[in-house]
Amino acid sequence: MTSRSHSLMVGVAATIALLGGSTPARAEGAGNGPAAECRQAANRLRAYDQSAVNSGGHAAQGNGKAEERQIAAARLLTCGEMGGEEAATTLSATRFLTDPGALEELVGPFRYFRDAAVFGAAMDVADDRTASVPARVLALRTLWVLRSGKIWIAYEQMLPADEATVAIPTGRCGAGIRLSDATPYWIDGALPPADFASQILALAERIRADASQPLIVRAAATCALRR
Amino acid sequence: MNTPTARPRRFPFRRVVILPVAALLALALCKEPRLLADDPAVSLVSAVPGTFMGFSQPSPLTFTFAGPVRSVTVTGQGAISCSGDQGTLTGYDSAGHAIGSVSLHLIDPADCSPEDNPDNVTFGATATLVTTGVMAKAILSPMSLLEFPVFDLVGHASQDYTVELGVGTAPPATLSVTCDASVTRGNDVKCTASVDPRQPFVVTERHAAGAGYSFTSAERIESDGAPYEWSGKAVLDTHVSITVAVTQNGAETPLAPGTADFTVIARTGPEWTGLKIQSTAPAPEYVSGAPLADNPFPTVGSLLAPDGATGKYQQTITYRWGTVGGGPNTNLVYTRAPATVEASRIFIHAWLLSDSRFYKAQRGNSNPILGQRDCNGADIDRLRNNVIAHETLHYSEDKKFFDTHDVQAALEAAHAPFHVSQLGQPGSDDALKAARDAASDAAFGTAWKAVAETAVDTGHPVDTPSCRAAKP
Repeated sequence: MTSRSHSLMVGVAATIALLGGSTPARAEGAGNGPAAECRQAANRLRAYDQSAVNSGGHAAQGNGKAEERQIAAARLLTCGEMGGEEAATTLSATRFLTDPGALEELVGPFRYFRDAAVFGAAMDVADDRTASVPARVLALRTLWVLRSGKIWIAYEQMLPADEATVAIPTGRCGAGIRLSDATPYWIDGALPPADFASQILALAERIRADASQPLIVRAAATCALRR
Repeated sequence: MNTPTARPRRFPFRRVVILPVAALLALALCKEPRLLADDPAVSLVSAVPGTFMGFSQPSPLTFTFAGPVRSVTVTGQGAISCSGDQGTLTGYDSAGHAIGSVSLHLIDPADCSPEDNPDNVTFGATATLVTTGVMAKAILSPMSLLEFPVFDLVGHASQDYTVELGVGTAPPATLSVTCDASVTRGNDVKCTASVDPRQPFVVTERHAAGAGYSFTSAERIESDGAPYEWSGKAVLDTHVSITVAVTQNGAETPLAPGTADFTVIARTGPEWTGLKIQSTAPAPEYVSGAPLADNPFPTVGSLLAPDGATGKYQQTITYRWGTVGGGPNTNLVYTRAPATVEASRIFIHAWLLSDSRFYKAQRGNSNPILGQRDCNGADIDRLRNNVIAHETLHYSEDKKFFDTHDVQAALEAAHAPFHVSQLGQPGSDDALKAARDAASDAAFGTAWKAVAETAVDTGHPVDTPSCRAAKP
């Protein structure tokens, strides 16, 4: 496995130990795996995403296209740097979409892809005042998950809490939710900067403290500041 | 205190009745206030409208002082009826609060009706008012009988008062602290610090302590002598200590701290007990994204999945937290209102459904001859059922826990420290969440996790078919 190969985090290790199974086969990276499959996944993703962006988020529904796209995205998570670049392209290209459901479908699969390009794109969209509010919220969700491994956080949990005010823009951030098997999880791509967590915190704090930003974005930023 | 040097003489009432009223009034108004003081530190600043009172001037007299006056003697000279009230002398502090009062009495009652002249008239009344606090002024109210019969004539009251001032003896100041004895949690509790005798003071330290709780403030709060009240939401049984210093001429003299305790009573009623999980297991919801991983099987060729990648059980409680920003339970989070529980949910990964591409890609022979066989649909069905069973077990253990523990009552008493001054500052949101988590974990969360999460995961892990999975 190359230095860019992905590794499976604590969740996998725990499960393997729990089940007493043998060491699983490691997922292929772009360097030594079937690169053709990664390219095929990338092509499928691009085609679907381009159609989705052109139609304002409402890509071809039915006939399995969405599921194909989802499988392609899942495949790209195992494609190392190449997968990260494809994911980053999607994050950037969808920044003007306003439908949270469509955005979730498009960028959600990459929220736990701890990759340098994904990190950079999420930082860029989160800080982009011209991007749509839902896109910024989901970018902040991605940043939070990249830091924390909390893959279970849904879009709604990034919205302002009932108690949120302009002075204190608290987000829901999953308050009150107890999930079974809530083990932090992420998949590594190309390594992000060593200080990526600090960069996320600095950006989130800047957005949180900026009263000129939309309250929804600021509330999402408070989540990104959480552990 | 100085005393008059000459014995007062009886004032013949005939002179009163024959003197014109105007002349008497003029006499009174022309006189300087007559003052005797035992200490140069005190003085009479004014007497309004003067020192004379009687039929022709029935208004109260207001004497204004300078210096630490704690003793005032008024002595009347003139003619008054021996019947009725002779007036009241009341002292006030600098804030205008009455701090002492005394009634005037006749100087020589034997003078009222001697055998040779039983006219029921005498020359004067007097009173000495001594207070513990410093008087800024004193008000003398008029005698009740301004006009009275004298044999077959009519007499008019007249008194010209001499005022004597003294510094008296300042009693040692003492601090007393009291708190409401018991308060229902979430209601306001009030603790009061009073300095006796009343005088200006400054609160120099407030301290409150309870089980796992301590708060100290060195903020200085000045008082003109009025009791200081420290109040806020009550959360837990607390011991309160307040330290003050009395202030005089810029100097501060610390007093011994005062302490008090209050007890917090739990809120009761149907809304504060019996939080329950729904009675029937939730139907599985099939999703392929959050809260599950999009690709549940990152290990190529295996159905092994990270914890929670193929299924999760979700319990959601809506807490209603409050934060105490002032008073003797400052810096605590607590349950402001009863919590509610939402419908539980079970999420299962949609790839385990028979119409998914992943499922359809599993076309292995169920009877391999050698080595590990390829997965088939039956394997995925088994995995799906096992995941559902596992998540449903989380639900049933969750329900069992809530059936056997009064979570609502535990939450009623839940609290944890949180510095309210952090609110709005960087990191405060995370800190507030941590405090709330700590409160709910201590109330029930830690015990719940052990039973409804850990025990299920370790005792009943998902049984994963051992076969070689094909890529979708």
